[in-house]
Amino acid sequence: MQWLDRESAVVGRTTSLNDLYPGEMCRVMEITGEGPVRRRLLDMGVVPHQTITVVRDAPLRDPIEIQVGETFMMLRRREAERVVVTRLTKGSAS
Amino acid sequence: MSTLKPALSRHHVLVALSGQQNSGKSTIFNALTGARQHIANYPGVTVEKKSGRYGDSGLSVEVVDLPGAYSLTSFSLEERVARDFLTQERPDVIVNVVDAATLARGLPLTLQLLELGVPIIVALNMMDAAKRRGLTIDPLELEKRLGVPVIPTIGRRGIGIADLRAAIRRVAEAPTRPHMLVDYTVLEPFLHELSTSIEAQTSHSSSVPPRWLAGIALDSGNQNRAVDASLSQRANDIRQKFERENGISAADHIISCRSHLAKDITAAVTVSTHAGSVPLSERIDRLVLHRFAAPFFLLATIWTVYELAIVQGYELTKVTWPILASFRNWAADILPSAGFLWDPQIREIGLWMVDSVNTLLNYVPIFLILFALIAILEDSGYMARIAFILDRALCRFGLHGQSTLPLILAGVFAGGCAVPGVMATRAIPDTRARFATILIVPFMNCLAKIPLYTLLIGMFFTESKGLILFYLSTITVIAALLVSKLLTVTLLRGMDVAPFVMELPRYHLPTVRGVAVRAIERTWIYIKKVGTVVVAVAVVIYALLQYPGLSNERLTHFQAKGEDAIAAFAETIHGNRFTPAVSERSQLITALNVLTSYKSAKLNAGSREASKAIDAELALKHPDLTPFILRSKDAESRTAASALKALSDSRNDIRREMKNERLINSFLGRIGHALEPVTQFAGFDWRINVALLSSFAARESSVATLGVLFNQDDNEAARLEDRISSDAIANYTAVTAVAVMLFFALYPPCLATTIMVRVQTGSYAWMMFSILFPTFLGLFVASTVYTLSTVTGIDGLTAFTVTYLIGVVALFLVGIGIPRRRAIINPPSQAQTLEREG
Ligand SMILES: Nc1nc2c(ncn2[C@@H]2O[C@H](COP(=O)(O)OP(=O)(O)OP(=O)(O)O)[C@@H](O)[C@H]2O)c(=O)[nH]1
Ligand SMILES: [Mg+2]
Repeated sequence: MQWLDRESAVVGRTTSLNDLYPGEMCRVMEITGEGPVRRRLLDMGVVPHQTITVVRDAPLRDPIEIQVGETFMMLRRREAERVVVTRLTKGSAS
Repeated sequence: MSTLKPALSRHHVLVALSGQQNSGKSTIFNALTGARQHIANYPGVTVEKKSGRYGDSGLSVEVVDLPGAYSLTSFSLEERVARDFLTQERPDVIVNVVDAATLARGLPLTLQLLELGVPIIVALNMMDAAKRRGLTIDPLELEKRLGVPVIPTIGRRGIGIADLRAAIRRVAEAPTRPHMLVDYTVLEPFLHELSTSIEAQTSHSSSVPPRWLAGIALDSGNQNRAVDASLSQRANDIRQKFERENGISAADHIISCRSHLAKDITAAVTVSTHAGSVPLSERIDRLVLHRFAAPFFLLATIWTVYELAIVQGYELTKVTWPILASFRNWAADILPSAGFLWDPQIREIGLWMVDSVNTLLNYVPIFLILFALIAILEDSGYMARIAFILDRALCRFGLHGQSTLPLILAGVFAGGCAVPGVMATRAIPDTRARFATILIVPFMNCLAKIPLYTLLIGMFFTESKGLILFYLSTITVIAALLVSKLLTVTLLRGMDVAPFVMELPRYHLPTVRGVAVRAIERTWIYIKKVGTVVVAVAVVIYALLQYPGLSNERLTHFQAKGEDAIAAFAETIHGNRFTPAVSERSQLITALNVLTSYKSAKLNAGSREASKAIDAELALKHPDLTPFILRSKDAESRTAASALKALSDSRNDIRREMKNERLINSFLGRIGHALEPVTQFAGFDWRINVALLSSFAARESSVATLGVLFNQDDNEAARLEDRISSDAIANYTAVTAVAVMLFFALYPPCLATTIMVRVQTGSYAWMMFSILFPTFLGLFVASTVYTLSTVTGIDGLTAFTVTYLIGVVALFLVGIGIPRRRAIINPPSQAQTLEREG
């Protein structure tokens, strides 16, 4: 079952940042919705065309840590869900 | 490029420090002005603007440290503070502090600042961190690209600060408006259209460039406050037109233009020698934040803090206590001396205050260690990781990852103080979580709750001591989380919530100076804030405990008893050759007082030498009284000494009786009695009521008051535990003890904390709530447990265990929930999607 899910992680498919596994890289397409969250993400460099790497999950799986350029930042899954991305690589960790 | 009036002509320059969170603004501020602004390796530490000044050969420079802002458009409070200052106060120079190691992320703000039209200096900070990351940045190239001075600095080591001062001076002498503007491509015509309208309007503040206002108005959508209503309407129209024509939001377009330019500039000025290598912080995090290792490291950290600050700190108080005790003895000596039964009012109040202040100062060693350790946690960058690890768990209960620090300060396990805890809630960006945290922080086990717990456990639970302590230290957390959840879904429901999007700061090695300064500063705040309140309240409680005092009839009664004791004394030493020394009444009282202070000095003496010195001093100061006090082989001296001791004992007995009666009769005693009908369900009699009431001033007074109620006397050997148990009037059981402990665990914050609650919530209503809610909750829980236990006849331990388990189950039920998962794509839908794509 688990590996089937991994299979679905096709490179180039549009998905949400929340669905990526640690180690996977992606490119930001857009941030959906309005309000301060979106704004904060944009200001912190999560802008369209930016490449992002998912670094790790917190021990309780939420929040997640991502690398944006030179910075490392954390965000909750609820916020990550709003970031639409395309996968660039397939993750090695799961 | 237009020139501005040199600020130098006014001999006064206003400099604003602006930059992203954690870029080192406060560090640079401190280096420039020599101030001691709070610095931490944790984003969003500075939430208000702070100003300081320095002189530079005749020029007076005022520097304002602004909160970190990622941009000037944002909706968060700190960013608004920064923006309002920059646009309304119009500083002469903006020093834009940029983290050199994350230049691409810092430059968009710089670009936005450039558009403000205020002279700017870029302080390229953290050059050392950039170098360690293998980044070489060319400041001259950056200067050329931005068109403003760029000064490389290492704020932490003071490097580049002199250059920065010189640059500020240069710019102040010959200010020039920055001329570099971001090219917004397709948005440009719209921007131009709007800025022309703004310019035509006379009402706008002339100092802010119209183009900047237009940019903000287009950028921030409906929420903009930068322009007035009619322009806002116009801005909306223009924005919608742009969005219709180009199919993207204006805000996204603006940000994306800036961030691409920032990336281009960064690429042009940076050479990266080991690109692609893993930064040191990340390598540390692979271990420290590892899924399975992280909880272990967290527990180890908390255990270390607990062990060093609370356990070792307590050891240290044993060393410092004699200093405080000798201070009290000193006060006892210089205050007007005691009478036989009645002491001068000033002496009583004076000693009462000294005692209150001493209990407070007793904790200073613990606080110094605790605050130093917390400063290390903050400065190293681990505090932000704690938030990362715990956010999920806390979030379930309406709290926030950043609630961790306040809860740790307040004493998650045992020993802390709610005052710094409530103070530390400032950094929580989420209003709802902040209020919830402020209201539950007082539930934590502060240091002052411990003595009562220890007393009750020693009395009723000697066998299961460890278990009860475990219950007590965890049930407070359980209760706090449940209360937080309850408040979050009810009263706090409508409050603002903020996202948890935070930078993970790089690890730093904390500096000794930084840590020491912060530990001392926080401890000092504690002493100052709490100290003043404690002294004020001590007076009020004193009055409530003393007045209205004893009736004349009782006074005569005690007077007679005292005379009897003196007569007995006179009889015993009749014919003794030392008698002349105490023949006068005043001499006798002096003798008694000398005996009392001699005894307490002996108790406080640490060594044999010190003890000998006290004897010698006595012999020197009161040679005629020495036979009554010092042990001697002389038979007549022995008789005299035992007679004086007997008199002193009866005097103490009478005083104790009087004190007890005065207390029963006092206002607080009456209130305690009046509350009995309500508190009887919790098993509290008036004595417990009085103790609990008096502990509102300061928790530690609960035990002291119980001591008075149960005939405490300093020279009495029996421990309070034994006295309470042997007292026939009170038939307390283990169940009573459980009820008291539960009530105390949920007890409203002490007075000093409620004052902090008032400061942090900004409302008296919340302050009152923070007092009333825990009172009712505590009374409800205590009554339920006591009444049910009494009805069912279970013992104290069982009652506590059952209560605890109910708490755990409730916590589990509330806390459980399906964690947000990655979308699981199941095979059928996957096949469908593939088909569609194919
Ligand atoms: N390596 C290095 N660390 C620095 C330098 N300047 C400051 N720091 C550290 O960076 C951290 C953040 O510094 P602050 O001065 O609190 O940053 P700030 O910009 O005021 O942060 P906020 O008030 O949260 O926006 C602290 O741990 C400082 O000790 C520097 O030049 N090099
Ligand atoms: Mg700061």
